[in-house]
Amino acid sequence: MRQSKPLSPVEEVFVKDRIKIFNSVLKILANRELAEDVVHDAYLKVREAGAAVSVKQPAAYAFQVARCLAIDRYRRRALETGIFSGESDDTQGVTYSTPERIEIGREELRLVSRAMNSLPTRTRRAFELYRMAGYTQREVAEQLGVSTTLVNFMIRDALSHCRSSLSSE
Amino acid sequence: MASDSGEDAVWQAALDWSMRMHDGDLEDAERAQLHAWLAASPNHREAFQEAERLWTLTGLVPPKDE
Repeated sequence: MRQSKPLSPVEEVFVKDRIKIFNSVLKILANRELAEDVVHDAYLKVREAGAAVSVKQPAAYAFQVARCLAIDRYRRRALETGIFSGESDDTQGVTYSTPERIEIGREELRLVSRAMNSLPTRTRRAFELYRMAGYTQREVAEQLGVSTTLVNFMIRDALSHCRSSLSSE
Repeated sequence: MASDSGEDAVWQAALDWSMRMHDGDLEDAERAQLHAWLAASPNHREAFQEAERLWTLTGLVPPKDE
């Protein structure tokens, strides 16, 4: 049977290196079921992303997406467990929960990608080290030879810039 | 922009929380503070969700020099 559409290079990485990707995600989440779910989510997201951004290094990109999503999932779960382990569940009748998966659209991603590309080089670099490479703000400051305060400002600036790119469609 | 509107202050606070979460595991006291902040206003929840959404989106942008 022929597939209707050939796999993109990033999708191929997910097929070929599935176990490696799974293991890198499992290391972060320490839960096989969750790890499976995140790998699947990552696969769906790179499929969407393929139409919105150009990927020059498919393998590095596949691992980046899987790793980012795994860390995000871990953080969001940690936030939610506090709601129940805390005091009573009587928080003024308001319960807050982030969705486990955040759905993204191609157009949004295209706009955010364009916004990132228009950032000053140093701001972009600071943001990538923090967001994708997982360095702390202090480590980013050391690498770039600037103050931690400036790094903090550049990260806020990058996210706010992406935010306005979505609201001014 | 140099807008000191309340809306901007809420957005900056939301960014602050998102970044603190990313910096490492929150202490119980910090997490309680965040929950209280979220419970205080629907605007807070909306801003935080927006920050989290942007956080997810930026993780899907390939690095520039690769």
